[in-house]
Amino acid sequence: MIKKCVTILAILAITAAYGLALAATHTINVTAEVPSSNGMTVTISRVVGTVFTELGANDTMDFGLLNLDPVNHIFTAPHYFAVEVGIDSNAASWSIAHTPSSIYNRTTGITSQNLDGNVNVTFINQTSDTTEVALPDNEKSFGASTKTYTNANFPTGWLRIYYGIGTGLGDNAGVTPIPATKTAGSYQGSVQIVLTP
Amino acid sequence: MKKLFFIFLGLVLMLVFECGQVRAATLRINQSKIRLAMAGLTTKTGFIEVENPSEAALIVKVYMEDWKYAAGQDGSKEFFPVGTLNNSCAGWVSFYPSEFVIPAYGRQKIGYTVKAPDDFISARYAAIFFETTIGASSADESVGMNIVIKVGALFYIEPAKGVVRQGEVSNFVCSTDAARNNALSVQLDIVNQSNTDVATNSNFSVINKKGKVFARAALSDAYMLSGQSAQISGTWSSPLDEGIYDVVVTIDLGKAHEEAGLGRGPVIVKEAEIEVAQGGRLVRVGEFK
Repeated sequence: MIKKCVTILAILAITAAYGLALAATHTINVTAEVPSSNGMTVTISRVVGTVFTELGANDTMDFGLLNLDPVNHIFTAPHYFAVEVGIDSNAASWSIAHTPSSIYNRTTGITSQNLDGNVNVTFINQTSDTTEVALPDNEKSFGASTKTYTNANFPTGWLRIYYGIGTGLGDNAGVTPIPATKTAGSYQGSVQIVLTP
Repeated sequence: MKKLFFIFLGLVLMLVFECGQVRAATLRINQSKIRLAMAGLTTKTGFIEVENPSEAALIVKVYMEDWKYAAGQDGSKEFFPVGTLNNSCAGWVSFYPSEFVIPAYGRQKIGYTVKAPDDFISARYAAIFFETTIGASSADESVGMNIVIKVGALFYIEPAKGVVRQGEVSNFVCSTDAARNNALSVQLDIVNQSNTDVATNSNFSVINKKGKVFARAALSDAYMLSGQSAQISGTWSSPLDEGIYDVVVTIDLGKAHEEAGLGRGPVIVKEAEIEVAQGGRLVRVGEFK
């Protein structure tokens, strides 16, 4: 009987020891560091109707040689542009600012000969390829398109900015078509898109 | 044979052209806020890494500007040429290089050095920008625009000793709106009386006399440099039951420093007693203290 008890106790002791050995935890530390990152990706598309054609990274937004509409006596462009701005930031908050520099006549060098009131600029929160959400106060003339949005304006998706020459139909406030009397020349301007934390 | 050669050459050129048709420009930096505590006449150095994860090389210019929070204090900033603002530290920061080409998928480190002057008792600010341009203006009779991409990092330089974060609140307004189901709104002004920047993280709670919380809502964040003020507000959209409550406003002035891992607070807590009639209409607002 005693022998049996000793055997059982021995078995129990060995089992307990084995169990303890199994239960002894071995900690493996897993570490990772997420780096701070603040950046943006900009893609330009030329749009004809509803067909988007992405431009190369070194291409400018070129409306080309404008067409004279002999009926309405205005200059028109065969296309408009969509600029996609994807923000890639893990900052707690960020701002994206749009600042225009006048599209003036570089041929004459006269800055008052400009198209700042002839180009529509519209800011959109694009939540998918086909879904647009208008951002606050988003329809501007080029000259008045200084605008800042923050991450709060983009719960999802990205910023899309449309640039289109006024047609007289459905233009943003402050935008008029380019009259046929506009001085000839090369009209060039620029926009700054600035990301800051 | 010659014909076949030209067809083959044409196909190769088409392939090369298509592969070279890079469709996006990306500029990224690995630091967005550089917050340093510095004693007078000391120097600190560091670097910022600029990355070009796109398929085309980028020409990048680097330069400093001054900045301040824009009116509205929602975190938006205004930028100015160096030396425009009194609280600028742009002149304390030197960096190298100031212009470079990052090849496709390349990285470039920009080293910076900050030298603090002796007589430095309040925080100073500056921004460093990394700028690249997409496209080049054409010279013919056309209409076009370039796009200039700028990514900025902000410097916040604080004195190593003597930083005080404090604010004062005023103009407390508590109201209900019958047109919006007697939603309860809280609004107040805050001024940054610190010698450094302050970002707030705030809320208000509505508590009855037994200590039970009936409502809690966030107040808008505010971002202020020294001396700047902001209006913050928030709304609880459900009507309160008839009764007497305390509206307790809690304003954490340390949001920016907490994000930077430099401690928390301080916190301002103020309250006012309110009385609500049947239906949730506010009939009395006590002293805000």
